[in-house]
Amino acid sequence: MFIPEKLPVDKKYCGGKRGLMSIPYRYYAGLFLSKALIALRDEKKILASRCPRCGKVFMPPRSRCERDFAKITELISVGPGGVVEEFTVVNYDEPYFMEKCEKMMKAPFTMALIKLDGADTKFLHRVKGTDIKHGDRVAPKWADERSAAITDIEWFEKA
Amino acid sequence: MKKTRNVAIAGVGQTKHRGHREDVNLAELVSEAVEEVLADSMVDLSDIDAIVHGNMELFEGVHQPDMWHVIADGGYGKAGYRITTGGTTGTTLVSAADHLVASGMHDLVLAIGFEKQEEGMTTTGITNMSCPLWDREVQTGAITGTTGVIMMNKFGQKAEEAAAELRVLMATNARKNFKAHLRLDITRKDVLDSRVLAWPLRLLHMCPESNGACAMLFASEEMAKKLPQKKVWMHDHVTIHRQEFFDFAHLEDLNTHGEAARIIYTRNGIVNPIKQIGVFEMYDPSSWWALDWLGKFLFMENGEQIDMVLNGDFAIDGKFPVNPSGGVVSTNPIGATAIIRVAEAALQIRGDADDHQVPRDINLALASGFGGTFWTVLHLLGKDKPNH
Amino acid sequence: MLRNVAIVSAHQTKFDGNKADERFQEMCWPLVKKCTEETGLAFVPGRGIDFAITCSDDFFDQRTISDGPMGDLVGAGRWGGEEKVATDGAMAVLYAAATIASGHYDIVIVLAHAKESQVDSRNIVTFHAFEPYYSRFLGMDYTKALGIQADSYLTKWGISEERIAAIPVRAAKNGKNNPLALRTGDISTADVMKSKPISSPIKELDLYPVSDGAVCMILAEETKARALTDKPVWITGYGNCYDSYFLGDRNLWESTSLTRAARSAYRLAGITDPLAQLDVAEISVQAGYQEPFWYEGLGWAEPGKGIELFENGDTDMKGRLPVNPSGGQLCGNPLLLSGAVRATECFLQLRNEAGKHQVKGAKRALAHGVAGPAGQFHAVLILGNDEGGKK
Repeated sequence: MFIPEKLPVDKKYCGGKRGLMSIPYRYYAGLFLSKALIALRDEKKILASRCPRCGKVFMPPRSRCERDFAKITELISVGPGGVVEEFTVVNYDEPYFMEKCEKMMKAPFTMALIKLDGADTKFLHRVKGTDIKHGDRVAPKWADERSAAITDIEWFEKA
Repeated sequence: MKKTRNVAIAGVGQTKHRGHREDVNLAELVSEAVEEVLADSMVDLSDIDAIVHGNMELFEGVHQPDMWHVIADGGYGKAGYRITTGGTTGTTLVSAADHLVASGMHDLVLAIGFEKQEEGMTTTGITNMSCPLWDREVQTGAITGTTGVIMMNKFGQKAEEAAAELRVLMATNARKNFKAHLRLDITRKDVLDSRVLAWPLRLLHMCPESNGACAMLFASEEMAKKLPQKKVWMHDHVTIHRQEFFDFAHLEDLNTHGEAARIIYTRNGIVNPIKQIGVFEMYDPSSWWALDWLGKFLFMENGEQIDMVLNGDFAIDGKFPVNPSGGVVSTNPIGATAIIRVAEAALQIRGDADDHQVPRDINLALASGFGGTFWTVLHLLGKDKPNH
Repeated sequence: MLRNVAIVSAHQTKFDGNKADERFQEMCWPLVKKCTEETGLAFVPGRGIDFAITCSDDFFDQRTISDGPMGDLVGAGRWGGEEKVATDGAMAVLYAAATIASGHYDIVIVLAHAKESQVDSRNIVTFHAFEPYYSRFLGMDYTKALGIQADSYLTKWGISEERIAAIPVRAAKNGKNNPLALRTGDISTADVMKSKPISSPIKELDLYPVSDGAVCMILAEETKARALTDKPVWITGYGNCYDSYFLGDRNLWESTSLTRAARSAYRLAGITDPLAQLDVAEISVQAGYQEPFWYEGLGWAEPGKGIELFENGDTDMKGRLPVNPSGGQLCGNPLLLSGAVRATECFLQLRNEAGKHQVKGAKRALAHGVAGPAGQFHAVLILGNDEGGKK
């Protein structure tokens, strides 16, 4: 006779169902930001945006000043060289990132906040290698095939 | 409902809701609504104490987007609350802002609901609300024909005609509202000829996927006195939920709308809603649901609302105007959809609804939100200050 | 707040690395049962529990409207009302208090849950918190953000990694007295320094472990709180604040949002000298460097000097202001839940129910929660028992 109580118990498996929420997304950067992204692809130029009210040059560019809520319409060229201000040496690989991020680097690599020449704020990017020091000057390594994304710069490397 | 202090709506802002907004990103979309609410309320961003922010994360695939949106919603240096409840999110944001102001914690609170549905896949996102072990793989989201079947069994062909007529009415209203997404020029025949999604639910009965944001400013009574915009007062609200799973053998169990309406009417001395309430902005994800729910909100057990639809009683100049804005079947950026209901109701009370303004004085307005597993949030707004 | 609000009951699960044998509902139900049985309340609006606030996250639960199944557990699934706070648990406690102070409700139940083990990696979730144009697809996540902030903080003030390594050591030691903690025991700074590097200068033992757990609480207005318990814990101060979003916009070595949140909380609770007036604090420390860093944000030490407060023993169990007697988040509380666990720990302390990690005679406590990349958002609650300066 079938007795439910006698079913095997597996404390490790516990009916664990493998699920994957595969929802495709497409993020539109909008007219303003897409200009800056196209500049990466077509001109190999890094564009920041300047607030008309406080004059701050923001990198990454944005169309609205966080502090004074002014609308920003001006894009200006910054870099391409800059200085590493803060960084972390990444020692783990996330298989998910390898799949989702273009030209993802294998650990160990450096993720840094870089102050590009002419910008008032720092921006994030990968830096090749692990022997980075604060204040190192770095320059972008442009990808051969570019798709109007931040990963058109594969990484920064010591200049 | 008892309340520690009165709360007023001090301003309303919304984007134009469209099917395509590739010209802006998610943060920029939100800032459009914030910019408008600041202009409408004539309040300086620095006077605002707190932001209440909500949407459905899996529609755009951004985790805790309030963090990112600080760059565009004026949240820097302010208090912030992120509150989400699925489809009802917008109305929950209004409840939350009401709580936060009435509690004495904040004097001026900005509530922001938004969604940019072109960036993800809505139905895939919605079906993920079901239990992963039981019904996720057989879920169809909000696309269901059950209500239509029940109504047609009960009231016959007339119900199908009325559902189509209600859709035509929403299209007629939406054409007067330049912010509405679908402003269709359609006839009853167009609706009935459109593609079947889940019989008798057809494509034109169903709400679209829109991109848009809506922001509202809430003020304490003392603060409201200092602000220039016409005030609309928060009279009452109620949230009614039911359980996670559906019991299709007992569908009366789904009547959270009726329960919410009963509570709001009782607490506020409303004995004849059609007479006492000037306008109703209802969350109508499909015209079939709308047809059924009008009966639930108005306690019409014998389908009287069907004849009312066919009579044109719910038109802008009818006996009981419903969704002068064109409703959810015309505009549906989900995280914003429910807050748009409250915002539109407030504009109607102020008399600022432009071409879709109800042509008479409105003292009380009702706005509903719908979401989750048949949850209801119902708001009652008024031109005059409530007596608590 | 225009009405006094108290926590009258609070319970938490044991925190485990992987509760594979319990679904969300099974993990939470015993807590709901404890809270309702202790207070004798049922979810009947107007005559019992009026409303529910839940706290969870769609990404971690891999479920749209992650509060969907939770309403049933607390009893809101039958014509009750529920709202979800989708950020740190301390905010759920604060928002629940707001719904009571507003006069709308008298008794509210709070249920917060998180199961970090259910996703392949916590980093996959926090990856999605980064905007998708300039940062996300570089492979960013909160762990790397912590690494960058730790580098910024340590470099700015010239603090060595060895000094920071003492922080997880004390956390693990305090955690030994907390039967609900996950990662505890006797470790040395050398063990921390030797542990696997994750994202420099953060090492494995330096970073909060993956864990599953839940918290349930009941809050009530004054008259009802008095009827429900003789040891109510009052919310006397609160504050929360956003900082800039982009890491590069901020001076990562200072926390303006924590300072603002704390200032608001102190002002409301009438605290002018936090080190003297607070008896115990539970703060959310995701990685070792944050402990001295948050001390500074909370106004307990000058910028860069937080580590000295730690090293002096001022924040030890027997110090001037014992911090994280429970061991804190470094012993294992999920992201999202930490603030609620901190508030629960303060509740236990103020009722003299914290067992082996009790701080004697605690009257006034501080609970802190954090959200966003590298501490972008902070929430601070000041709690007090009847002797702890209820307004």
